[in-house]
Amino acid sequence: MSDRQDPLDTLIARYRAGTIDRRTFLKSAAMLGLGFAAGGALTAAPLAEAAEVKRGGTLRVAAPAAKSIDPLKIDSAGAIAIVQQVGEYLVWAEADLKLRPVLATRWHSTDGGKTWVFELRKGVRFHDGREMTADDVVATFERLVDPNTASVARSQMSFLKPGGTTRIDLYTVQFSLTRPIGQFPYYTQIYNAVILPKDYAGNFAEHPVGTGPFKLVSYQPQQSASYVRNEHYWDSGKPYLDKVQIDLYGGPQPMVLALQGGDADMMLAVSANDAKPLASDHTIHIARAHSSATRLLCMRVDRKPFHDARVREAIALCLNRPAMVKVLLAGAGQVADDNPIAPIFGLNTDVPQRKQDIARARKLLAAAGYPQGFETDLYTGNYLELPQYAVLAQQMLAPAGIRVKLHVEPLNVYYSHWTKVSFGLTDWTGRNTPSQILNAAFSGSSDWNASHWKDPAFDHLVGKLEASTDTRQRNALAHEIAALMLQQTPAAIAYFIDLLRPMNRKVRGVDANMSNYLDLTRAWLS
Amino acid sequence: MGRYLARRLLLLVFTLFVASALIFALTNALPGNVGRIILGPFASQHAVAVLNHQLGLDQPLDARYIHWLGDLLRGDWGRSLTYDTPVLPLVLGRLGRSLLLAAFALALLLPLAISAGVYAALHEGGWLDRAFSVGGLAFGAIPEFVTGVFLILLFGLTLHWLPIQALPPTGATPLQWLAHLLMPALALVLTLFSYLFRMARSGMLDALDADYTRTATLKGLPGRTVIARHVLRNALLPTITVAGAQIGWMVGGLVVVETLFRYPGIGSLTYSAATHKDLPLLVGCTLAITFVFAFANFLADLLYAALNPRARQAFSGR
Repeated sequence: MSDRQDPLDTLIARYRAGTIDRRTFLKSAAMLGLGFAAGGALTAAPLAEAAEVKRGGTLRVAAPAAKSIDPLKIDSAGAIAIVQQVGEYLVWAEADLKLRPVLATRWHSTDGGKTWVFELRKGVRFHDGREMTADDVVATFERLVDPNTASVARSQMSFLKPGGTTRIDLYTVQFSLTRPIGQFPYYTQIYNAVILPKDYAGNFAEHPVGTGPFKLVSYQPQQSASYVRNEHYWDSGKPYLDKVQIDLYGGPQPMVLALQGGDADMMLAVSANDAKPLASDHTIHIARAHSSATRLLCMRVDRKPFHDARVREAIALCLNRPAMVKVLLAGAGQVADDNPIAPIFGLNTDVPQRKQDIARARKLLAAAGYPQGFETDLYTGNYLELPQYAVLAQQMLAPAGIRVKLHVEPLNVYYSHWTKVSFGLTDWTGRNTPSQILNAAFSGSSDWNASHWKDPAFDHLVGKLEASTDTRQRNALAHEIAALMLQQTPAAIAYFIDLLRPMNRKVRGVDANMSNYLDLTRAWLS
Repeated sequence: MGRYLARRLLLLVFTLFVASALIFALTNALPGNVGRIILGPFASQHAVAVLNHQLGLDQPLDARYIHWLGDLLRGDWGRSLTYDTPVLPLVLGRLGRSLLLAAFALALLLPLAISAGVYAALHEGGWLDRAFSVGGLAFGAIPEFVTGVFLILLFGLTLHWLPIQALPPTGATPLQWLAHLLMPALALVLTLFSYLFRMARSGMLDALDADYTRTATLKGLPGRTVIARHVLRNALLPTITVAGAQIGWMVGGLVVVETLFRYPGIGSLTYSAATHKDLPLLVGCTLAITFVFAFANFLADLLYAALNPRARQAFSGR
């Protein structure tokens, strides 16, 4: 929130001094684009101060439904949160993307990003008492990239091949990549990459094992996961809680009601619109983190009418982005500029922000041969704010003569053809590095390139960005990529989402996270 | 009676067999790919193929069905694809929970709706008759999700009388169970009341109007005896049949109530199995629900026979 700290501080000061009332405060905060979440900032619970920490107690977390909890297969938010209390990564990315050492204490590249060496923490024990060593780390990553394993992670680590992870000594692991990856440490925190014992044989639900702060004592599908404190946790003194219970819910409304009624202490995450009833509740604090999570309004560049860059630009020009952030996200988001390099990455993209301009959109359409506009079908999934986004886009495109027919489908149906439709709106979760999303969503060789946009110049720039470790070079590359994407507009990208995590004010030491990851190591109950 | 029972049970087995085959065929036609559903949109196509192979989903449908049927006959209901856990204990646990909620709701609903129906018919046109009819219809028309939220806001958040979630903590006493189940049961009662009430009321009105009632009254029997021995017995027969069907619905169709009150039962398990194309789980759930449905109808028929001598004769095969 650093970019908006000043006006918010002023507002809070005025509110505290009594020169404005709460209503005016919230209204002004909303106008600043801070939305209701700013209301929570008034008395926001700061992260735990070690001195005042209270030990013990059970934390009840409300989370959305989980599918398989096998770390290799997890993909749903609920399942990821369940596994993260048991298993740990080599590193942890904090809300501001700083890397915190977890199972690895130090890491460095010996040759500009192609070979990475990780030094492991000594004396870390799995829940079954065995010590975690380089062999377990090697086995974990080899398993993730094994072509005979049904692993979600493999598609995100195309640069790590079987045999690429090796043991140097008992506490040192080397990753040899097929190409330089400047921000490789972030990839070791892909949600599937929790370190498991080398002889892990699946069946995590029945034999859960990891090095994490809590031990899973019971897991009931669709229902809940219960944990007790890991007495032998390597970070001695932590965790502070005795027990954790993650309760799974079938929808956001029951979760909100449970939080309000005291049946849950916190929610893993909530969308801005579902959070509205919580904004006026003084017992609840909504933690908030900027993220790179976004929505891609993809246009297939290999099909009419989107093969013409002028048509794609016209569509992007129709969107009123600040209004979208306000209406769809209740202000909890940041305006985007048709590229997925979110402000949180701290890169200077330095191109003029695209603004709504219907007249120019009409001109572009006429020049492309559509003076009367055209008719098109827009597909999306029935998930979060996507249906409302689709309706809003339909209304915003209409003045330019673009008549949109909406197809809001069950998520499974949409995901079965989202890369095939001509015009589709897809939710993208946040990634820790810009190259992860640039590669997955737009590189010429990616399966998830829903725009079917293939530009060798772009691929070259992304490759260089991915490899680079030099800040100045990364800024220059980000600028070039942003300019290219603005000119080509394979997808309209209207905003980045702030992730919200509502909790009872007695919950301390828990923050929002840009990946919706859940770290309860430092959590305590006041 | 024994032959009737045997025939009904045989029919039940046949029904379950046909149902399982149909579910296999229909689920296969549902959109979506199980491997993709489990691993999510960002897994590689190769990983999806590997998982589908591991789950045996690359086998032809008839082979999978025969394999499944063989396992079932040996008492193995298979493993859930999404939850990676044996189907039978999961289904039985959820079924038991749903039956408990349904039984509790019925225990509230049946006496309430039937006595209200009887009273309303005996005082046709009275203010209570009108109040029950209009009120029942109004609540029956509101979806359980809305009545449920209303109940939660009133009894849970404002008055703090009842817990918001239906699932009690582990080690809860039976009384705590009832307190947790009261709100979802009330939501069901409000939804189902008008149907049963109207059945009971119109059955009563028909019976009150019938020749046998007039005969009984003309014979000089006291009004109370006429009602108890002649009217009620006949009036409630259709209500019993309807109540039998309601049990099946209550056990299988509670997704909304289960979701709102966080009470993982067979309804939400079935819904999840269907959306994830989790075939072994879906078939297991459906068989369990079909069984309850058929069994409830069977019990209703038995009760019907006990109350109706003519039906008794038909059952005994004479």
